[in-house]
Amino acid sequence: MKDLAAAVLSLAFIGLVWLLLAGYQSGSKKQPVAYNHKKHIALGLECAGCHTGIADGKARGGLPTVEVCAACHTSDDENPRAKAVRDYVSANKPIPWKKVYNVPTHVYFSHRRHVGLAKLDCALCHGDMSKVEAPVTRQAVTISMARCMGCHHRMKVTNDCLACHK
Amino acid sequence: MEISRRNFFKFGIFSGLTSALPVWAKKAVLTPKEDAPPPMGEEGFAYTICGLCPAGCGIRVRKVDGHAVGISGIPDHPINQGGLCPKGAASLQELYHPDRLRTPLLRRGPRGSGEWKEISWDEALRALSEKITRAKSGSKIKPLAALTRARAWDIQGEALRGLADSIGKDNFFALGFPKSEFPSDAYERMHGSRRVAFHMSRAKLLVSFGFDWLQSYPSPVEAQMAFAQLRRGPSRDRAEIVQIEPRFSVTAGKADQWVPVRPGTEGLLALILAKQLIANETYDKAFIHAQSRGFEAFKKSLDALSLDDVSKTTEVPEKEIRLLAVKLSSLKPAAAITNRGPLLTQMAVHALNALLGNIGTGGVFSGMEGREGFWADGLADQSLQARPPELLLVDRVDPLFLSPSGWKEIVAKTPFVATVSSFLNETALSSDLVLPCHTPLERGHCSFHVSANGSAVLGAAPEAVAPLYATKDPGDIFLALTRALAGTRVPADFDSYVMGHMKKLRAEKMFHESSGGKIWREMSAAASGKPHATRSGKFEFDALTDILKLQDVKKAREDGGFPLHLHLYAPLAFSFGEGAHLPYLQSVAGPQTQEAWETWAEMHPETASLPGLSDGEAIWVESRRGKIKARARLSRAAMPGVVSLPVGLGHAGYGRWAKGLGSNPLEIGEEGTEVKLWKA
Amino acid sequence: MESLTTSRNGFLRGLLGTLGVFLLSGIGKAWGTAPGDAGHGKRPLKPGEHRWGMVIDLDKCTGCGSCVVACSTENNLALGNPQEAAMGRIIRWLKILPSQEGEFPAPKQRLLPMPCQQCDTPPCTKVCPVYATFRNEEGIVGQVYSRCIGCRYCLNACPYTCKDFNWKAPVWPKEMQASFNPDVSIRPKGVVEKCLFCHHRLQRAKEEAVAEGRPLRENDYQPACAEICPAKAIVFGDLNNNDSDAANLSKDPRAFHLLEELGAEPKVTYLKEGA
Repeated sequence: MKDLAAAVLSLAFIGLVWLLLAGYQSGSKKQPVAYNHKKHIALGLECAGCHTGIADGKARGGLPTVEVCAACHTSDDENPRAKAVRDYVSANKPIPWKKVYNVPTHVYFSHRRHVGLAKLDCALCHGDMSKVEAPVTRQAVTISMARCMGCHHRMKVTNDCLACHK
Repeated sequence: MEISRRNFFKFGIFSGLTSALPVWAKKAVLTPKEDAPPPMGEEGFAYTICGLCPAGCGIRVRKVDGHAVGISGIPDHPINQGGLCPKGAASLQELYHPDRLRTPLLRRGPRGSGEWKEISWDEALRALSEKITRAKSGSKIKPLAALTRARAWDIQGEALRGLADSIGKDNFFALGFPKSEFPSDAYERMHGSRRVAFHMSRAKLLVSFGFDWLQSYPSPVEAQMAFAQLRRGPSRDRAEIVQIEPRFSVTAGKADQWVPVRPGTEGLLALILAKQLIANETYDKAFIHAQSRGFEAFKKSLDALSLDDVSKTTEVPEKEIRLLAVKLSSLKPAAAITNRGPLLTQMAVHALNALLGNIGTGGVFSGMEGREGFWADGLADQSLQARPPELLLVDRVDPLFLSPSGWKEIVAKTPFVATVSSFLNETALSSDLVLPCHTPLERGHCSFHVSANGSAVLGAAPEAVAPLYATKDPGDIFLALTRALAGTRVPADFDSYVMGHMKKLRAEKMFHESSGGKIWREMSAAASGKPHATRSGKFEFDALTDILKLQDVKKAREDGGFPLHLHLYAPLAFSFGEGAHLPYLQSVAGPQTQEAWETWAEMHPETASLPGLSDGEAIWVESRRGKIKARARLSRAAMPGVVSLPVGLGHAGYGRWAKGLGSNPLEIGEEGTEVKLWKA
Repeated sequence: MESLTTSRNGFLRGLLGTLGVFLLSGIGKAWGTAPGDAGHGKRPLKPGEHRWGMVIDLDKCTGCGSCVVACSTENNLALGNPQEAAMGRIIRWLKILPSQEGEFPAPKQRLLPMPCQQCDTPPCTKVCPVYATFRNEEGIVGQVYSRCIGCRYCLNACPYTCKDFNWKAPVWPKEMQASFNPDVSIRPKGVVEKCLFCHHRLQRAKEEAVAEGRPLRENDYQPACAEICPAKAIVFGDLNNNDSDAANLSKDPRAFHLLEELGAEPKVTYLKEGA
């Protein structure tokens, strides 16, 4: 009885550790600007408009450069909540976004293939951003090899290791 | 067991650790370390000229976010057709080398002490122009000598020549690498011109006398391409290749026949073969009669040579010599080639070509009128040794490494030495002022390249990558000095200087066209003109006859305790004496024995047995001039009595991978020097 | 049952048990994500699929070593140093294999560029316990570094000694890290690496082809060695495409394979020297 209790306890502990540490999250990340996706999408902005890598047919979607934000957030804009971005714009400094969606350096992931050619919806991997008000600090959908391969399996696309591992 | 607090902790920590371990390991290995958004991966190609050697191959530099990450050849470039030699393939390592010079250096301690003061460009240029001005006014000896690398015309060399011209005359010299050059001294005396077009692919029999041409050739890529043509050319007529050399070199290994010969005696062998051809009457009588002068005197001078004597001196069996003469007369067209060794060898080998009748329009050798454009090669050490200059300006060449016997003295006697270089090589280490320059990928190119067969190409391209450090284009340095000395007669900046020359060549648009990859313009096709620019208009034998009279074939072999002969060769990885600073090149330096990262002394086990040396042992190689360390490499393919050492290693500087690695055999002798070996 | 905490035996059993659980889950995971049966070459290829191969003409090859340097630059190979050279531990995915026969005065020499032979029935994949090395559907024998546990069985099994092991973590000066090819990952210490026929170029070439709505062309995908050879001795292509030079040359009368008798079916064909 006592041994059983000990075994259950240790299993519970193991489970807790896995839960906390699984996935590629590095914990919470604080973004330099409190960007609100919901607001901007409601104004009609598309993903590729700011994440220019997608429109340019690049492998990386890319985090918006300060030039992208400067298109709207000029010094005329008086919204106090946009002050942070206006500071970056007027100084012409790149906004130091913290990249949340990462693949390991030994993996080749191409947005061009998935979004440009396969025409997948951004929300499939990044979640429905039109509902997200707070700045992104953790992956909405955990990026893991199992997830990638699961989708590839369902879509009958190659699961050859060499297709992604470089 | 109770669920006591102690047990709870023991168990909990234990299972927590063991479960956390794989997860933690996974994270440690797989989670990328970046925080800032990585660059977007802007990609593109920059097209330029390699510039590491005089050949002028067109290269394509793959750039990602401004960094050069890959090198390949330009597929349709007339010189290299998309291929590259190992040095070109390794040029990224030179660009991003950690030990590159970044600021001008002024010597602080005594010469060679390695104590430098970092100064600004303004200070450096001012100091140098002051020194030149002072040297110009007064002094009896030559105010300035400028030394650059022997190559065809290029804009940086032109700027240096302009500087030299503004200071004096006969002060512009070029340092070559004779092992990789054609026998231009023979060409000059026999054809009346230092350059003769050589159409290698026309030969059905190619006999090389001491010229390891696959590894040392004026244009390495051209040699590999020519070999492929000779073997598997479109005519399906596989040419025969014979290699006469003291060492079983790469070329000897790829040849159909290797004729081992004692170092330094290749010329004698050529002469006895000439005698055989004449005796058998299998030489081209028509050519000799109509197109040559001085043949009878030459024929007579060969009387003193006997097959027996030459066979003993060269260590080539008589039977082999006879068979070789038969081969030369049977396969047509046959060609004899050699490099820029001793004058007798150069002329003796080339005389064979006259006898074989392969000179003329459509022949293996033909004229190269109007394709000169080369700087004067060599001979610098002879004239400068007699009258050292007040100031020596060295441009991207390392005379103290390549020719220590002559240049150590010149440098010692020259009051002020300034070097333009990307690395702290031997010459820079012994200089008083070091001016760091761009590597070829960081500078623009405007240069002329002539292939062995006379086809000439003008290459022009802007810089492939932005300069990494505060270095300067060598042309920029020379122009700034000229401006400081000559004032307003010189363009204000190097870019306008370059564009001025491009306009003269009617090639202004080339820099714009470079983004599409078209960085060349073919100036002239393969040459086929009259070969002889001599006064007689014919092939001249007299110079050879004269020098023969002074030869003593039966020269007794001095031994005096130095029983072996030194044979030097230049591996392709270290062509032109450069390359030891790049790790990838160190790894391909010795393909035949997979030797790398050291100076190895090849010898036959018989040769090693007398001093009792075993394979892999550290040894001393000593001549009357000095001794160097090497590692013994025993090979049953080696010629007994010969010790072969590669040239290219043994630097005192030149970056962390070259410094202190191996030894420089040029310090103790040259081809044929008598040496002895003993355990270190 | 002996208590897990009060005796050494019990403790060891507990430890082994825990470790066993994780090992099993690891292997299970490997099985679960293994890409089909293509690893050991038993499944025949469907027609229309590529089968990448190489032909090296030894009569054109001059042993210059450009291919070795180009491969090293393209794949971010470790630099090497004198100590490693002395131990034979310099990693070069493409090696020039010298062989000499006979002796002075008539020795014979052959210089043979040897990449991974990309066998159709690779001996190395059969011995890998974790499926880090495998043969994919297009014939390339892959190597996944993050899965490799560094047991070196594959290195041992390869009859051509085409695999190299990272005995130490490779070290590059900071300045040289700017010139890494971003398409090829940097290997950590403790994994095996080998020539992969520059498959990263295939990844990109396929993407370009799909983006442009056309099939993959012969010259879209060339490994670095074939691209740089000045003598054009290396020909690379799709052995399943009857129009490709590689396919035709592999059937040349001069063609031979290394260690043919072992039955590994290497896809690197050599054309012998001589007429």
